[in-house]
Amino acid sequence: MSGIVLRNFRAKRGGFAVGPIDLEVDYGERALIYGPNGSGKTTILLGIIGAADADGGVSVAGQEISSLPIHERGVSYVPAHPVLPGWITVNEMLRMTGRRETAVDLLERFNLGWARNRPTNALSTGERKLVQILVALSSDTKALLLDEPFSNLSRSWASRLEELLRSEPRPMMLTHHEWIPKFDKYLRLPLTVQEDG
Amino acid sequence: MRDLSIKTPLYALAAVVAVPIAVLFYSAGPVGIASSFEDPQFISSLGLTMLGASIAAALNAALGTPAAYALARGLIRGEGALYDLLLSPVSIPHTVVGIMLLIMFSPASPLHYLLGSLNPLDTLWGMILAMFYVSAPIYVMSMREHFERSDLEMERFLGSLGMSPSSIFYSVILRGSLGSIARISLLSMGRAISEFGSIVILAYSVSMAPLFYYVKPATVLIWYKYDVYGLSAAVGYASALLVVTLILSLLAYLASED
Repeated sequence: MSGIVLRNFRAKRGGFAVGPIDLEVDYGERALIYGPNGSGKTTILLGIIGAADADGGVSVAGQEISSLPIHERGVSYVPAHPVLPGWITVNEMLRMTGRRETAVDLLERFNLGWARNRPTNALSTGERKLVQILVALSSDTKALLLDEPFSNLSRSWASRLEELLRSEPRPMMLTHHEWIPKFDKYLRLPLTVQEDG
Repeated sequence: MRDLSIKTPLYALAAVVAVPIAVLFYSAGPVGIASSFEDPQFISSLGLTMLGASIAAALNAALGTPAAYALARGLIRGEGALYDLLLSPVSIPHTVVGIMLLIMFSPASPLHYLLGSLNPLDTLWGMILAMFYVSAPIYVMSMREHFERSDLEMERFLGSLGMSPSSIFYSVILRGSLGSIARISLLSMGRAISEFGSIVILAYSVSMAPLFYYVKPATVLIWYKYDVYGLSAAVGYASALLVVTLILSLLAYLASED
């Protein structure tokens, strides 16, 4: 059973379309979508979660999800910029969305345990960005989509995050404006699918 | 020159709004306004109006906030038609609203067997019904605009983590919208206070022991004074009610934008 499977997949947003895409990302695999600004990286992710118009097949853990509402798709989507609601604390956020124990452990690994009782708007941009990624990693979903996860992060946090993502068993798709080594699959925009970059 | 031409309509509109207000206050004078606030008839009338408008505003907040969110996020099939329907009281003449609401409870109504035991005529709840009917569209329209401006990416993030639209709304969005809810509730309360056309039909004179005995809502009282005793008798009351609505507008302005 494959993780994320895209078949003849096309996503459209604001008169711009990207596709067709055929791509399989298995459990434990990470696929990198890379390309210049405006090439459609985010549009693909939004199409997968149903937030942009899409056609073709999208399945996750063997289940076709294209007709499901976003909260039933089982796919965590983390936007490129921090979007955590500023008026609630990290702890409250975790109570609503994640496996709390896992999240607390992840926060401690990044020395962010102190942030748990703070409202998220009291954190810096980088801290908010990292916290929202950690919240998504601690959630119960079957796959992960991370839009530009390394932007707004210090070099040290980015490398520790990369290490953490490498140990994640769920299938994962990430976007970045340029190629990064050691990913299992690559999707370059304009479209070219490569194995084992 | 170009700046002047684009600003002129704005200044003209501001003058159209402000000049009658200024002239009314000038005509009433501080003594006229103060004496209205000391008049027991006006105070009971204002108390009745404020009570009804507060309840109508609370109903707007309770029902209109989730409704506006559902409309803004397209959670309901046919939301365009539903939105137009909710907005329609804005263009229905308010005397027609009064007749519509009154006849709904009358023996002539097909709903008489269901609603016949309820008589809204000259009751507090009849007045609240009219106030709610005419102020709800303004509340829903303004709250919908507020939700349309709010961050969709945040909701996508929370939704992708498994939170349903209801859970996102009640656990996250509502808390972040308290300032706007307060501001728009105050505006809708102002609209409820200013209602006349439907109230004069439905609640001309309200009795509710032990609080109110044959008390006219404020707009009806002003009209009554004007109709029976002439313009000079109505100016003080009109100015005093205007002071109240301007205070509400000021409070709405001061309420945070979240």
